[in-house]
Amino acid sequence: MSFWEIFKLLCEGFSQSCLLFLLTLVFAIPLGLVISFGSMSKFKPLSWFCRTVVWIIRGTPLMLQLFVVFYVPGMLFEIQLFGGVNGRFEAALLAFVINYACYFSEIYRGGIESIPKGQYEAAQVLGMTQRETFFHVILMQVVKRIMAPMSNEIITLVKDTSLARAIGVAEIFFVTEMKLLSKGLIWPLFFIAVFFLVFVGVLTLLLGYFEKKLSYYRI
Amino acid sequence: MAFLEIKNLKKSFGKTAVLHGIDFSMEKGEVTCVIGSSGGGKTTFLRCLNFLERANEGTITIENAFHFDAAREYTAAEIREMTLKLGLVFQQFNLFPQYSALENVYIPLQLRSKEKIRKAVPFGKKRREAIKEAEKQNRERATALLSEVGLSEKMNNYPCELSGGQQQRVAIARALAEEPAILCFDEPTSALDPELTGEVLKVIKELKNEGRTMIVVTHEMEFAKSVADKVVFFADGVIEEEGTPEEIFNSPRSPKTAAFLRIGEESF
Amino acid sequence: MKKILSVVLAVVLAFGMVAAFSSCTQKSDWEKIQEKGYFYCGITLYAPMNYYENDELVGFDTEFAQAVAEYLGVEAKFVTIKWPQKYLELDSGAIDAIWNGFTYGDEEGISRTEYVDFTHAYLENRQVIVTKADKLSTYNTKEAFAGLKAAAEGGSSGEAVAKELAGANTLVTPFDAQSSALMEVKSGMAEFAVIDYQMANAMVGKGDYADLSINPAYAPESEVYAIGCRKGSDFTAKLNEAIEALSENGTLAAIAEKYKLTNDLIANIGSDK
Repeated sequence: MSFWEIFKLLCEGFSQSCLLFLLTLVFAIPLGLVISFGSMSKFKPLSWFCRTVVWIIRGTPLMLQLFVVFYVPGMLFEIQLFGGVNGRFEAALLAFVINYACYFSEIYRGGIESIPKGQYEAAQVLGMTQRETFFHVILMQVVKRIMAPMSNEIITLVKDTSLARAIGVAEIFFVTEMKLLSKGLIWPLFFIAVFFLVFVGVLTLLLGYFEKKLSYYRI
Repeated sequence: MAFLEIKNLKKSFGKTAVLHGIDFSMEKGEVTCVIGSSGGGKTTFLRCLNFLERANEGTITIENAFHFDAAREYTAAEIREMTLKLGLVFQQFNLFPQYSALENVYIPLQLRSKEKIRKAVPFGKKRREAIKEAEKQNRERATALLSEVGLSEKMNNYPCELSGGQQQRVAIARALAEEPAILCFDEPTSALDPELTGEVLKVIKELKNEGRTMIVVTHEMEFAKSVADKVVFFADGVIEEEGTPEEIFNSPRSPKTAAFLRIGEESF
Repeated sequence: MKKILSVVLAVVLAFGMVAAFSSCTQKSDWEKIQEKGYFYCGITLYAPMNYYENDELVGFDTEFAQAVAEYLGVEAKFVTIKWPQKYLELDSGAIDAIWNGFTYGDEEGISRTEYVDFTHAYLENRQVIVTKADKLSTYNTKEAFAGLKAAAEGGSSGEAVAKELAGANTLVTPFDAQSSALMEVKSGMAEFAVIDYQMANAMVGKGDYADLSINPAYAPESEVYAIGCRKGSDFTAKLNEAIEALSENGTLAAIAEKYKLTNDLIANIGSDK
């Protein structure tokens, strides 16, 4: 195999990794907010339910969740939620979104609960509704507070995408394992390192930029 | 009936009763200073008045129009409407850190304008124009309010760039924006360095001269003497004594008041 | 707002449940395949069965499956799976057949017929030992392999042989695919690998694996390849019907010749039944 063929193969694999990463963020960030509201809800059954889900998801390996999402529906109910080649990606996406939403929800919860009571009270005496209070007063402060832990999770997610190979998603590691390592090619592994380093590097710069944007005020 | 009429206001947290039935009234344009040792219920009284705490018993009537009865259930919207009749300045300022001084005053104002416009104008270009118009007016109003408290230079600074005294003045401007019938202060200078209290007290005095109705919970006895029309002394969850500053400070009837004022003087 | 959210959440959950259960169907496998118009073969990549040549999936099993599909009037699709997960893939319906040089025999001492229904066998195979070419003289008896580190595909018949030779289960590292086992030997992490003869014949001693060699010191009994289907599936019978026809009309022989497997092809499949 020529260098370019292998490079093309790695790029294809990496594009799957990137797509998984981006879509996971797109869905998990808002879903995490919903779950964090759920676990902070005054309606006890809901908060109990959400906290249990978070406990289960955070308490079990992501690898296991991938297996459960992909294989269990077919085995128990004889339905193919995710069959074939493309279904694998969707199954992995679902598992990743649920997993990361749970982690995000706890970060959000920590952020929201760390906002001083005085901010809510000030908003209340100024006649703001709960909704206005959240979106105009609390949210931006939460965003600032959670930037550091979120950056951490997001960078972890980049590398966690390689776990999707467990159910045969053709991401960069799977491609390398199945198509290149099997031919005795080791050096593509170094290329994987370069891909990830560059990607995480760009991400770090981006997250740093956002953090800087938010540094005009102190909480 | 008085401008503000509070009858038999009671509040307890769990089994701890904090307010044992407060009866209080004041007239329009009056300034009432509330004094008393900590734990006496002054702050809880103010918080009940602003609906930050819900009183367990009693009634609050403002201007004969807004009436709160603890025995009744109120919707969030009703409470909000009553809250807007009152302004509150906190001990810890509680400015929104992500907004500049101007935005702190302007944003709550604009949100209320938007709400009114949305109710009046259902949708479309008219609504957008109305919102734009309100935006202009509210910005002007916020600017004027900040000039009034002497902060026209600092309008675009963020709270973290302002001194405590300046922050508290922004908070006062913000509380004034909705034209509250009664402006309440919860120990407005307690969190400030001594050299910064003067500028805040000066603003409150100016507000008195404008004829605003205010309730000030304070530890500044000299200030209370000079600004108050009426002084109320809280002790152990009841109004122990109330009267003009002369009556309270020069010839207190209750031994508790006398004891409190003596300790106060010694510590200064 | 929280109340609205809780209601939304509850509704979403309820819908999920309903969707999950209501879509249960009682259709047979073959009916489902006909409806879809294709079936999925679970494969791992190795020559000569399924491998890429110029960006195209080729190989004996690839073309065999395509020929069968054509006969059945559907399409064959292939998906690379992790070999140890093959029964999970099959039972969950993610694939419809294990069609990748799948040996009819035992796995970890349990007959594979416990997990799958086999079609007719179509190709002869045996497990072979692969070592570095320069070690051929050192490891020249069956006993010489005792205590050595070995690599094999997890859940393959080669794994069982490797365990027997090494003498201890812990010495054998199972891998996701046979090719990974070869990698181990090439890199020196394992002294020997046990893989399919067909694969070894196609890959060892040339190209990237030029320094490896099939070690003739021990030759396990020969075995056969067959296709694994879900237990109780009517797809098995359809495949058998197709295999018999393709065996008879010479299509299978032509494919075997193309991949130099003529000697190992089982003749007149199904005629004895």
